[in-house]
Amino acid sequence: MDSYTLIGFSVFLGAIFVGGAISISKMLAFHSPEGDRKVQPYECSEEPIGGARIRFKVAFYIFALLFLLFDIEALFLFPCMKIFKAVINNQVVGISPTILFVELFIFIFILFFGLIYAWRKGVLTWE
Amino acid sequence: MTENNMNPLSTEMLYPVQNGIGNMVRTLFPESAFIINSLISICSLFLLVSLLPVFLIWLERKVAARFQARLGPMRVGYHGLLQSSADGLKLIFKEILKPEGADTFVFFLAPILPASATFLVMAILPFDHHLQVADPAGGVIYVIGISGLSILGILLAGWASNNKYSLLGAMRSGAQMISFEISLTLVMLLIVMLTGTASLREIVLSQQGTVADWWIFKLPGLGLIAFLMYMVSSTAELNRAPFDISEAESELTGGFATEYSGISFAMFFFAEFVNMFVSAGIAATFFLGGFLAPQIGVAFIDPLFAVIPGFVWFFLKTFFVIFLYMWFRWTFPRLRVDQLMYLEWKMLLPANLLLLMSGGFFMAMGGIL
Amino acid sequence: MKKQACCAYLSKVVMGFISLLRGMGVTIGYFFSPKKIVTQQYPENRESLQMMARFRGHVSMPHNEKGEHFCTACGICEKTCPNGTISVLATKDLSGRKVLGKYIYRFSQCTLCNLCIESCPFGAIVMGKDFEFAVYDREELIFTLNQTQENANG
Repeated sequence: MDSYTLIGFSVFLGAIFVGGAISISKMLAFHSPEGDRKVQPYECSEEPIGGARIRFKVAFYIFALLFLLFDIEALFLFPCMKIFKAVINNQVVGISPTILFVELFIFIFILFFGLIYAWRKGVLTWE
Repeated sequence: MTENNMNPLSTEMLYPVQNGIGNMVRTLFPESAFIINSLISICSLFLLVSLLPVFLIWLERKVAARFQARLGPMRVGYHGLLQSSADGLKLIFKEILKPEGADTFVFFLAPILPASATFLVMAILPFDHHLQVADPAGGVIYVIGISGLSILGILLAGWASNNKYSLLGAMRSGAQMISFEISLTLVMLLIVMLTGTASLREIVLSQQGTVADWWIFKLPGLGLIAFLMYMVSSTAELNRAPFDISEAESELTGGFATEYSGISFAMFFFAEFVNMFVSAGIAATFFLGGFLAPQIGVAFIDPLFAVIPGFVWFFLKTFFVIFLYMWFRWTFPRLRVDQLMYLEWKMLLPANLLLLMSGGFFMAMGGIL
Repeated sequence: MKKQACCAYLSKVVMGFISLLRGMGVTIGYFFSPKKIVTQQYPENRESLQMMARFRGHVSMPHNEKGEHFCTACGICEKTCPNGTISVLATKDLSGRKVLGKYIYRFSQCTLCNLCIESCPFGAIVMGKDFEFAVYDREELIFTLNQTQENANG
């Protein structure tokens, strides 16, 4: 637990660094006169038309879903990977190396098959 | 630079350079040694991360210039060394504008997240045997988790600026980064599988021996392929060319950072440069033997290499990988966003899964390790 | 999946990878050859600086060792110049022939378009290679290009 306590302090370092830089800038910077034009959103020097929170393509959502799936898969693979070397070298009692190996293959194969399915369905194309 | 000892439980006396300050503190203040040593390590980490971008930006500009048959900054300081400090000073004197309609809290929170992520991952990089701020047992999973924080910073920046183009740029950048994060995760899992441990220090120590014991050279060819996949995935994670669709100057105005001005703009790019150092450090740790000196097997060179302290080797290897990143940047044209997605989902991800299966297969066949 | 599609896919991967390596070879060649650097450190290299042959600095009239030039005051360059930068003032010499008196060149309005030099039938004017002409007073940029005993400057 010592490791994580120390790292916990590092979280604030980022805030101190950026917060400090921005505060120094706010104190030292020259303030141009306030006005309407100054705070308008930038659209290549034209008048902005409409609100900024527009609708965007559903492809973003699909890729986020796929990312979620494969990330959870990686997370499930993690404990397996950690003990893989020990089990393969017959150092762990109670887990047979062949069974672990075959299970790993089946798991990765199922996910591979899922990827091929998504590929053939055409969801992996961006446009 | 970071000359202190983190782990108070070890009594390793073999590395006098690295353990010098730590041992001195422990003899002078036996009770509060842990707190003082931790404070020293956090402060030196802060110092390192503050000085690194100044040097790295100068290096990037000079290396870029040499690749393009020109000289780079030469006037400000000797050969332009003070150029990035001058640019940073100039940016501090620029006004920070908040666009109307922007979410103030999120707008100012967004640059803090990538910077925090940088500090957090820098804290567990093994600079030497005892020069690590912390060494959690699940180091690899920790790294993978923290890289999600940078993505969050970019998405928040795009959303909080009240600008359609920022939002689109941030969404595309976010989609790119999360796709390549999967490849990154799977390559790191391959290394975890080969090593049997997830702590970064143990991964480095598992490469002891000669140069041929480094993971890049093991598993005939697979180590090299894994290194190349790591390079491609981390280049995309860092939003660097050839995957810099989000910060390309002529596309979508300025990308997610269009509405940021002055030093808060600089913070995003400070985070990108130091993240480059961190990714290179992780590449050196996983594939190139971290802080271990390369033992070639030649009788009179090996002791010479072994005398040089580990953190020198770590920095040398990291800067070699950084040179590779810069080489990629100034050679390849930018990928379109659909080509990016094609590369990840239809080339890298299946290759990664096959790589994992082959790695497992090789290990089971009696380990050509 | 058809076998042909698989083969095409794999060959695309391999050929793509090889082409990437070739590109990287080109760039690393530039990195390690300092002789190919084209930047020149300007104020320090004034002695050895040689501009390119096609560089257009300003119009000048070359004179040989005896101080003679090739201009016959035909006035073609003055008519060709698009904005009246050149004024050819001719005089008559002792035998009544037309010779050049004064060749006025207003550098502040010259566009360096090269038309006068292309149209001169005698090759009397060429483009010079100097570029350091910053002055505080625009009157100093009106040059007299021909040399005589009176105005012994170019």
